[in-house]
Amino acid sequence: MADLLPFLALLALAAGWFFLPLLPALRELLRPTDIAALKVVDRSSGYVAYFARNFRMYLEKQTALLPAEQQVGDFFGRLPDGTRLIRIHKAGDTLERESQEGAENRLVVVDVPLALEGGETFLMELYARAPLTGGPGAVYRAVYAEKELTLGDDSTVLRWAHAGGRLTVGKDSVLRGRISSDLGVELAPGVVFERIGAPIISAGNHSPPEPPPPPPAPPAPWQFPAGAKMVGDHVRIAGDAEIPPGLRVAASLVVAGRLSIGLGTIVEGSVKAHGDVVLADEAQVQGAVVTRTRLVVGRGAWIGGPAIAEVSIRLGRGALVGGPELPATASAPEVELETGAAVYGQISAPNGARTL
Amino acid sequence: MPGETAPTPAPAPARPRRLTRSPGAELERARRLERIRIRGVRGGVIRPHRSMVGLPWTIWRLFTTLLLVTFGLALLVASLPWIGEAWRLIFERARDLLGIHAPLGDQLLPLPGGATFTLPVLAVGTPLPGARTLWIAGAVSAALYLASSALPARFTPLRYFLRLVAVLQAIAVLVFAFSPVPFPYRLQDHVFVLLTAGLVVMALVPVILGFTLHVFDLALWKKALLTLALLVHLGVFIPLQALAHLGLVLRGTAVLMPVLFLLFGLLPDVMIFVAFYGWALSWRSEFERKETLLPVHRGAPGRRRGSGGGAARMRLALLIPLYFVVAVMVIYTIRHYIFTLNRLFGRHRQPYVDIGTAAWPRVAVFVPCHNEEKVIGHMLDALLAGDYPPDRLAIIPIDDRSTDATGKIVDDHASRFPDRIKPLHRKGGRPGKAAALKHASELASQDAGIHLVFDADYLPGRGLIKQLVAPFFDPEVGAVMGRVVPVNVGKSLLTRLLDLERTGGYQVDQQARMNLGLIPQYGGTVGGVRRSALFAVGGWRDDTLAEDTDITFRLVLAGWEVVYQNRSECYEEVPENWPSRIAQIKRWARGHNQSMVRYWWPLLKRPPHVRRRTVVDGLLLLGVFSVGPLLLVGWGLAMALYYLGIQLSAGLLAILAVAMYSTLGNFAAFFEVAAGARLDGSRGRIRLLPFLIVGFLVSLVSVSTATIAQIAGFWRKGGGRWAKTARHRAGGVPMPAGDEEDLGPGGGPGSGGAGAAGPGGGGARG
Repeated sequence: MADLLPFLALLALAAGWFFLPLLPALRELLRPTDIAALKVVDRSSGYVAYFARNFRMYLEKQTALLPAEQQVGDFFGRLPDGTRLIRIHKAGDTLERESQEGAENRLVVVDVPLALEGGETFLMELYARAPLTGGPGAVYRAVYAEKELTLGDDSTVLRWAHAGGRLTVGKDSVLRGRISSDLGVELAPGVVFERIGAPIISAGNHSPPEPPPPPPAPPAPWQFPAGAKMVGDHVRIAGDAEIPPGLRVAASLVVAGRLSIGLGTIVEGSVKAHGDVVLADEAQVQGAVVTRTRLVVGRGAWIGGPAIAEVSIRLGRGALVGGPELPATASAPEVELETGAAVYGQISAPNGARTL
Repeated sequence: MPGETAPTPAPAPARPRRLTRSPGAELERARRLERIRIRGVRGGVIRPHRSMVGLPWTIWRLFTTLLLVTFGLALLVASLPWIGEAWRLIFERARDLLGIHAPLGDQLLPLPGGATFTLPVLAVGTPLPGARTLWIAGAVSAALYLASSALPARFTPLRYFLRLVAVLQAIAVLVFAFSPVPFPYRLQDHVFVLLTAGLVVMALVPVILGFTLHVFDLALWKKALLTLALLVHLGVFIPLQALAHLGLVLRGTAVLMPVLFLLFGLLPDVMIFVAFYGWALSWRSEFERKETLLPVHRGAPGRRRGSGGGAARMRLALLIPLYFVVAVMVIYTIRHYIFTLNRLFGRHRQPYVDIGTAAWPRVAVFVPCHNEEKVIGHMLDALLAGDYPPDRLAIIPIDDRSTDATGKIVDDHASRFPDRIKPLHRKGGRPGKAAALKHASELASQDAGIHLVFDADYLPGRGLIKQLVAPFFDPEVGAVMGRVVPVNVGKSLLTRLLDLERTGGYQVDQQARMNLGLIPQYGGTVGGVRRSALFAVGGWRDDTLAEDTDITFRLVLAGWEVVYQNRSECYEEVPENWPSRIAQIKRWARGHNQSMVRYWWPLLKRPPHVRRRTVVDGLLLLGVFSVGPLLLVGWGLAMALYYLGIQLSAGLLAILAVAMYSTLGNFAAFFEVAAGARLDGSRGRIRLLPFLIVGFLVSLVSVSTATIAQIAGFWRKGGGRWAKTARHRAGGVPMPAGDEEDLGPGGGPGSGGAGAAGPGGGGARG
């Protein structure tokens, strides 16, 4: 028995040394620290005004919890959750900033029409129940306007902005995050943004274009090139494809290479190309346009469905995506809009979009 | 109107103050604004959504990675003399302590570059078993096997492991009893090989960590410290392990040597590596992956037997298939490396995820169900709560001969929402999910151009239908797959392991396929197909157990694209007990193998629109459930070579052993799991990595038995019945609080969280 003990001790030592690095695993097993299911995305990814709506709901709930006398009129204090708040209630009141650098560090609620002088920095949300006009060079963490919202030149939005009315953005502004309006967004030249959603988003203050009416007589059909093959409900074309001007394509297309659609040509379906897609001026695609690289849309051209590119989209002057009855999305890492281009619905550009 | 305010030609009102500041002040201001942008008002960081994140790759990272690998190797090489001395000292003390009367000698191990390493050798005799000992060992093996059956279901992994021990021990008994040639190893050879293999593992530690850990943004000192700690730990463990083997055999019999060698030789070393690795990744960075190709290291000087031509032929006959198995494992290993590194550092493709506004097409959502009374109501409620235009969405629960309250629940919902829910009650025809889908899709209105499919236990979020429909605006897309997220993670060890596996499988594997333009697999739920594509390839097949894999390959072969959308997440209920899991994975294996048999040749012929790399990926995908049985074959061959006295311990067997941990189980590979969990921001659960091995063992056995039965023709031709996964849900919907709860300034109380999504609303990028 005596000589067994050293042997057992050796076994115990080897086993103990083996299990030593397993202690974190055993501890996590027996006393879990990370056991909750991942929080699944619900609506936030597709709904541009998601954070703005959530903020509004939050503010309503918090305000409702205030004593009755604090729910209306001027108010300087804290919401029930501790958030500091200033409410401007009377016309003519001005916003006195708290910090020396002109940064407002409170949640600001404005009940009356207000025109800011410019240069302010709002470290917390700004909520306006009436039309709000921002001055140049202002910085907003986030702003919610129930009515019209005008952002001055060179404004910066850090997280989101929403207007119940029309949203007008001055030139050279930078709009990070989500920008939305229930009526429409109008962007001056030089505006940089990431995501905008509105019934109509237009570059410049021109009247947004309308989808073109159907041609009086159907153009001549395009003869598919040799080797084109019908796959389900679309035609697959190997290599590049160049559709001459003034024709009609009565099918959806999938092109393995580059696709060029000629002047005024109408595609009565969707198109997808693995290479670049170029729509010449006044060309029309009644469905979606998808490319794995770049999409260039000529002047006055129209895309009826979503425009999706994996590298970039450039919308020429007067180019249009979607329509009043055909909401659509233009989505690419980078998007450029020439003056007069418009999108009915949504523009998404994670790496940045710009008006020219 | 404010919107018509024309740019005024008057002098601009005072230019923003920031332009008048000094450059330093401007810089500070910019930093402050960036902090505001990415932080909530209460200071928490608002992270980008997990589906969009990756790792930046920098020259500095590359430099430090190479530096640390060099540091680790240099440290090891420089320490070799001390390691040799330390091991000798440990052996000497142990010999005295254990009362072993044998001289302690040295044995030289040749190293690359002409160097040598001196290993301690105790010249002990080998206690060969007599007949009585063999009977006892045989009886113990049988008893162990029987005892394993008495274990409750929750100990299934332990049961499988005990059975493995019992079977291997029984084989050893048979070999010792009936082999015409003597057992070819001495005990001192066994110990020598253990020490050698351990040294190989130690040499690989810096290299493997270079690939798998140092690429992350852990602090440099932490990486260096982990390398050092792992080397020190192994440096102490390896001689202790060898001495434990020695003591066990001396106190027992040489008939224990095979089991000790095969199960308790290299595997504990690898497990230690995994444990350290999982722990380190829970600290603070991301990525994982722990295995690489081992350079075949020979040098174990055991006695060679079989010098004649017949023996050589036998050796060759065993070695060639073994090399084949190893080659397959290596290919899968490389594949997993590529996928994981691509997911971490590659361009992230989710081209359709930002389509939030569109003229949404008509959609039919099919929910096949058979005795789903515990879950079907929740599922229908979740679908009804979605934000898809109600007039364009038809919900079609397919009640296939349920004998519980499923039909009633479905009808109750249909009576309340007659315009939206149009149930189909199947009373005849072929049973099973595939047949139900085939039946319902043929009956569904042709107006619905998109057919989505959900299993009854899933809980789709409000925006999920739009997300899944969006890719179909691409005319080439034939099928879409979203991400499956377990909702019942905390129920048991199994659910936690399955959560990790799903993470690796979707967050890394599927997304990497999407990034690389390969074949993301349509998984039969949280996804759907284009109606025209479906019928163009012949509709759902009802003679298969894996209609999802089947349709994936038919679509790809016909020229359609299958896409994966990482952000389209949906909760599922994973099996909570091992029998359910085993039944599930057996079904998957059989169905997948059916597809392999059907489509490997058409794929290999490569239709003109299919790229070569897609063919390679498709073949590997088809073969993924063959890995388990193949690995078993490899083990069998390695074992045969072992008994023939052909030393493989430091080479092929090592490769097999290490590769096992990354490729077993036919789902998300082991190393992908940690990377996926890191990307998910779930660091704590990565500590469970070592336990994945038990899940892999169960999967290996389950998949292999299913495959073998299939090959033997014991299975029915598929799709002929409902192979249902048991449901465990009780009470209300187990839906965790979603991002709808994230109200308040700065993205919500506490700021951040998945719901708040990301800088600029996270939303900026999603």
